[in-house]
Amino acid sequence: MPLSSLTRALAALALAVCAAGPAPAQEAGAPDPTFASENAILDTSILFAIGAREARQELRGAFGWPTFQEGLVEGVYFRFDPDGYARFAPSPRLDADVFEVICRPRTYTCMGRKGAMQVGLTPAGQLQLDIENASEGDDFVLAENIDELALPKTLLQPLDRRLEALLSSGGELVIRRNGAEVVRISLSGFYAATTYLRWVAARQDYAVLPRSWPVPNSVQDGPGALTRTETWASPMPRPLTAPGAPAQAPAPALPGTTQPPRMAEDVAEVRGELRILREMMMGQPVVPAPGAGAPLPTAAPQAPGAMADRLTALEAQAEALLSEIAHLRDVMAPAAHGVPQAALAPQGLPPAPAALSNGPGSEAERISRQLDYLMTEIGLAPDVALTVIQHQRLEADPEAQASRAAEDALIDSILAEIGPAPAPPQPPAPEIPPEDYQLLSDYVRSVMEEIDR
Amino acid sequence: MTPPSRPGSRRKTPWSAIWMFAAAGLAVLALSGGVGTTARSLFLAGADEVDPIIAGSNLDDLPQLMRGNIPVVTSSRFYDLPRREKPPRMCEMPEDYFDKLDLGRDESPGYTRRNEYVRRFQPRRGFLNERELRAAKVAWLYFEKFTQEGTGLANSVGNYPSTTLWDTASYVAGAVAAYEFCLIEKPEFDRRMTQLFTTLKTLDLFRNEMPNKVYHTRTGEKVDYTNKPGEIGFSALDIGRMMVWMRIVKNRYPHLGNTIDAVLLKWDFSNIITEEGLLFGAYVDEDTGETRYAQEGRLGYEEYAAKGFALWGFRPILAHRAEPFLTATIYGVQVPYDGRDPRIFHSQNYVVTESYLQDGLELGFDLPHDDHTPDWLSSDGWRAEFADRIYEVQEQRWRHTGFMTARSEHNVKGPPYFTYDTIFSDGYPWNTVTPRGDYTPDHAAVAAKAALGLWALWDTDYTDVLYDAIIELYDPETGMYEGLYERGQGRVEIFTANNNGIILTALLYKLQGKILTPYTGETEVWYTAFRDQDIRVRRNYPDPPQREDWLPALRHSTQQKVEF
Repeated sequence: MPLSSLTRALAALALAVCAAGPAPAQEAGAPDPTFASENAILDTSILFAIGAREARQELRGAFGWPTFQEGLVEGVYFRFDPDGYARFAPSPRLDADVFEVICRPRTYTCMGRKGAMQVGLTPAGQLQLDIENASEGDDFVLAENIDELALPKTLLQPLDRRLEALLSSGGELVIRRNGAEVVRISLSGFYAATTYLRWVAARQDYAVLPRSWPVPNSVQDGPGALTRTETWASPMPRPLTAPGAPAQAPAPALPGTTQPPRMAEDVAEVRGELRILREMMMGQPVVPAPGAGAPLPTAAPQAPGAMADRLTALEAQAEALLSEIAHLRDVMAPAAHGVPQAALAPQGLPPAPAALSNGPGSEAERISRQLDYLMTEIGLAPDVALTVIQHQRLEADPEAQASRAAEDALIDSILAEIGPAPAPPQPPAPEIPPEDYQLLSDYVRSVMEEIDR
Repeated sequence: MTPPSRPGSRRKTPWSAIWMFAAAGLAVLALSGGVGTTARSLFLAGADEVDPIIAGSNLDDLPQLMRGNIPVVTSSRFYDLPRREKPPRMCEMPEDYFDKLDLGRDESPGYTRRNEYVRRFQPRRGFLNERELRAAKVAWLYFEKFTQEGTGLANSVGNYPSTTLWDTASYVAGAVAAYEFCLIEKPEFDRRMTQLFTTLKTLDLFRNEMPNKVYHTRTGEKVDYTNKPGEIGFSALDIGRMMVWMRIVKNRYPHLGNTIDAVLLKWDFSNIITEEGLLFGAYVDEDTGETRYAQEGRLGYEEYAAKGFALWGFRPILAHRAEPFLTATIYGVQVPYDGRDPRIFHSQNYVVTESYLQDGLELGFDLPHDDHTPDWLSSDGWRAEFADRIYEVQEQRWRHTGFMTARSEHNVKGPPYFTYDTIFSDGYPWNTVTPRGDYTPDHAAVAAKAALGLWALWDTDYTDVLYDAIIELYDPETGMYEGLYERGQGRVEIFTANNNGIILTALLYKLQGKILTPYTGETEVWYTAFRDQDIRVRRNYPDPPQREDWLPALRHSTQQKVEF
């Protein structure tokens, strides 16, 4: 029997309960906030494969997802909703042999299931199978018609590439115990569904799709995109030009005119990255800043080196994002004298953002601006933002730098103790003047001459 | 050589013939002159006796039409026949009320010369018994529990505070039934209806045109499908159903007429119905944000909504036509379905019971101008004949497979909360699909509203079975359940305005017959307002419909018996 939406509901409910703990009971069978816009994790206008299309759901009632995407890829039809719920099946009705994918509400954590088999992604991005009533001692066989191929016992562990490719090739997965068949699961749709899992986890990034996947050429461009000559960005690689060439620089938005769509997409992309970073930071244990009001945990204090590394990493992330934002702002801002600033600045070296630069005003104002920027634009928690600023100030302070150097030396010594012995320093290579070099043909000729003698 | 002359004959000369011709001509001239003079004198004498037509008086037809105060021409007025009368409330009905009722039991089924149709099945008529009255009370509980005090709007589904005009019409249906069953009295009924229509009048329209598809019931704000402030577009089908019930309320309770007219006089009908008589819905283009209009409605719903517009003077000629339609033979019954290919038009052709039920219960399968035919005669003949097929194929399924069948779109518990549980769609019989088209046979159910609707309109052994399955399917504190899963998963544990409203309508039909009653007034504000401005033209408000504006009565080839 095909998995139904009822199963989906139950699974989603179970996932939601697992994720969020006990939820308030819904009265009178009214819908929970399933269709809340926050639950939309996918943009159904971004095509999963060539030939797919976004369509409107036929809603008669007052709620539901307004759109979905459907298509055919790798021999299976599929449909998915903005909340990530998807079905893959060999028939267009999606009625039999269905591979269902359910996502935990408001997350990119999804799992696929068909019959007794469940498949998900490990944090390392590997596929992990879970099969009801199966154990390590069972025999796993990949069957196709009368051909059978024994699979290793490691099937229930995270799959390596080889196993994944085997399962993706289709057929049926048969599990036998003491010679008797326990489970038989069709693997039709396995390849598409697992690719979908990765695509969702990567926020619909085509980079994670397999090499042979039919990636749509014009990402996010609708049918009318062919005529959008002004804003159309070719998916083909663009030739490199010298920094400052205005032809490659996007045109700045003129005051009073609407923002070009491409620019808006860039801004949205940066904002998306910011949001993801914010979520990552919120999800990670926040390192309290010394003197920020939150005492350091005494039970498991963090090593100064680890804190420094983390701060460095955070700072690098923040600086990268700041650079990107500043770059985009410069591009969008009306250029002085009609020349885009971005075109004048070499790529990758955008001007430092004003928020973190030593601008005019008192020290307190500057710190306040920096704090405000880090919290509102970057989305850092207040204590993390304060840590970043303090770290920046420490770097500027010679005494602090000395202290930092001492810390680094300490870390190096610890690493030297616990790690492999460092290779002895190589003596510097002697400098050879160009005239000492000899062509190989000349060398051979000289050798031959010597032999002839 | 000259011929010899006969003896005794006198030879006629050419001059005699000329004289005779001249004499005849003079006689004709004299006669015509005399007749003309007489006629002129008579005509002149008569002119003195004609009443002079004073501009703006009752005899001045054109200005009357311009003012909109000529009466709507209905069938009773045109044929000079007595119009139907509004039945009394249940508590005011004499005990022998149904003894005198003309149920047309002796009429032979089939089309009449006027393309009216006498159905092969009798409807149920009579007082509500104890079980039915209890079901009615429980169904009304839903609206008592889930009507928002602030706005007077009722939730579509349980305590989820959003609604559509379709579901709001179901609430109006529930209120009318509750009043007619004497479950509530006039003060309560008037309070509810006045508050509701006042809220409807103040609703923020979709781009100043028509009501948005969805509104938040607590705030009255227009919202999107996630119940967040926003706008989606408008649905011609939802609005059409609402117009049916606004006409029902206005005709039954004229004291609410002005309130209802005021609601409609805020709407702009310039895009929802075309000159050819097609209905168009609207949605927002995701890329550009512009309004897009798209033809809305398929066989079944489209005609029902079209009648809603026609009841207010519009002329949805094409929307009311069955064409293009095809038939699919299921268990020997030719089931009609919309012929527009979903692959081209991207709109499914779901065949469900609901729209036929609503046409039968609320409008008696009659044309909008019909206010005189008895209940057993359906002036919109083909609709009644198609409805018989929709009923019969479901009975045949029960007889062939044992599955109780009363199929409709209905809500389900859990995502996606809605299913099209169809008789036929997308090329498959008994296709149960989600709004995005996934086949979900586990959602197949005996829809409570469909079961009781069939029971009311088709008095058969099969609908007795449906009745027994559904009539006690309720939560005594919340309302009637949505239905009974076909595959044995139990009740569809969800409560909706539409289900409870249609159940109340079905029960009211048993008591009173066709719900729509004739309009008893003469002039309507709906037709006379804004005559001194160009608003009527800009918003496409109609003039009072005359004989030539009637929707045509049509017939299609009938199926006399089940074919295998």
